[in-house]
Amino acid sequence: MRSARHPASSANDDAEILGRIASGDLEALGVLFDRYEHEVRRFLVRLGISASDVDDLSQLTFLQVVRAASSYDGRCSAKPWLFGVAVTMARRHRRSFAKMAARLSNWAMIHREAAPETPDETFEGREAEARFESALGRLSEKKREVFVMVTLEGASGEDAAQALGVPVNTIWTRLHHARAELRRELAEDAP
Amino acid sequence: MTCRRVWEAEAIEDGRLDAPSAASFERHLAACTDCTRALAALGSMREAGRRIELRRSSPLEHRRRRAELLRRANVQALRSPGFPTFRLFVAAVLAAVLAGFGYRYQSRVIAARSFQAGGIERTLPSFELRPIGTAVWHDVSSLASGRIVLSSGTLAVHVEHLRPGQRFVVAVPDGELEVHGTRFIVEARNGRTERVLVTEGIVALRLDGTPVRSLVAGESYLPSNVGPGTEPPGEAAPEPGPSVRTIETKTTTHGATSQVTVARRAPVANSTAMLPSTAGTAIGHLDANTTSAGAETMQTAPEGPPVPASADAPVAPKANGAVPDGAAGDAFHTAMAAYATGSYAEADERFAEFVGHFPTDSRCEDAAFLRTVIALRRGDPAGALARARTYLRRFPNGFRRDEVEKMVRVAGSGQSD
Repeated sequence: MRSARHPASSANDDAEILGRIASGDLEALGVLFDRYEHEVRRFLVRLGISASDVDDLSQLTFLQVVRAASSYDGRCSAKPWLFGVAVTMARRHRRSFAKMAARLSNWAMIHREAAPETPDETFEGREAEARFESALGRLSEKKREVFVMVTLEGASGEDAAQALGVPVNTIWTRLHHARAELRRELAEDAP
Repeated sequence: MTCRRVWEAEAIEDGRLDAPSAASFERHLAACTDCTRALAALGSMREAGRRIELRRSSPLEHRRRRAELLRRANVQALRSPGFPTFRLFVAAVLAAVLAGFGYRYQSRVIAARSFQAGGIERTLPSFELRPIGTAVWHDVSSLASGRIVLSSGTLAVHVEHLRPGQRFVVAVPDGELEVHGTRFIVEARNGRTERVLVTEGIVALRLDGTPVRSLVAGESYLPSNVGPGTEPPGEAAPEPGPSVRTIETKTTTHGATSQVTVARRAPVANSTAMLPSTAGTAIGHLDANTTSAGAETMQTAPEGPPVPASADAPVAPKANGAVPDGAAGDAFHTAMAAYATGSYAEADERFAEFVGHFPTDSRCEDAAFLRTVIALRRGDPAGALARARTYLRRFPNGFRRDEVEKMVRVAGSGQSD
């Protein structure tokens, strides 16, 4: 159960920063980057973007912000809005055959940057995590985007709907089906 | 049998229930194992997903990516309003056509030249040197090895990508730098390396008594640094742009001939030279005051062993009205550091202070140029326009004239929007 997701002050700040970016102030872009770069990169990883591509896609997301800043209406905090931009970049990326080929060629060599292990992390825990990640990877693109944005990143249904450009009920429907599929996949994968 | 209210577990997890419904469901949870289990399953699914984490970047990694982003954003901003891709494309086609007809105007990069050595063709690396202010250096390149000995002063260096077998080294008083196709600035004073700033590629820095360190694009070295990258990485460092140049063919008393490209420019501003990597030894020394009078002291000598940097190199006279570099250098580096980290407001203030305190320093031109860039980056086209005009008035033959004129067009279009 979640409580308030976006502090209002942050949203106000973000609106001001995006206004400055829209007027061509690149210093403000640096501020936005400092504030949200980690979240955007983590979001991209959770969307299934490989570690080798995360940096580039994150940069492209923020470069796209410069072009799209004037369309930001300040109704939600910049975070879900940025996630919406990142989703667009990730979709383009997935559809790019060249990138796909590069990913395949790097596949054997690249290891995802993992969070440092804590002493109490057990083998079962890591295995469950891997199973979950694999199940998440089998979700359709749209369901995964909604699940990651709302459940994992804590965006509200309204913010997610606005960022993805779909009605809010579509968000709840996709989320419901995403969970159902995840439950099924996890039950099948269970040892 | 499953509880009828189990759907509310998902609704409360998503924050879709209003306060009375949520309170009612929470009371229901106390007595319903189905709903409790469903809610717990949703919670563990959420937590499992949140464990997919990304290692937090180090501050240095973050700063590097930030500098790269700002650099790319700046390129994007410069392209979009005033420089449509189509116009650039037409310009490139025109340039190619002119080159095809053998239009021999000044090329920015010195072409590589070939030598026959033992039946094997060896090619000198292509490189370009531009002194910033006063610099004393020797070109002691031989066969496929480019080697520049920098005694003092600041050189902006651009090396084309090296082919197999080629090497390019800049020897500084206390060590050397080896590069593999890159762009960087190196400064040496009082017998030691004062600064290395890499803007493209990788430079291996080997200083006496210290381990080899690699500087990648955006990193810099200052003697006070504990290691590379401790100064915030920057975007494109200020590099002098082209100015009006002539090509002179000089014949030395030993009969060796080399082409020396010498920049001519107005007094007070920096001087520049593009020095081909000759088969012999070249001693370069340029000073703002002398170049303005056309008294370049470029000498070439035939091929021979490397000449020691210090003994017979001409002593560089101080820049016009020069102050000790310590204070000016510190002030300029402070401003550059702020600029490199994207703290444009602070950088602007520091550059203004620098110009105020050291009005005759040769770096005032860089400061004036960077203040124009800063105004543009801060979304102030009117300010950028005013500063660009000030720059053009003060440095009519400045290194950055072309870029500033472009900025005038960009800022002008920004104002008219």
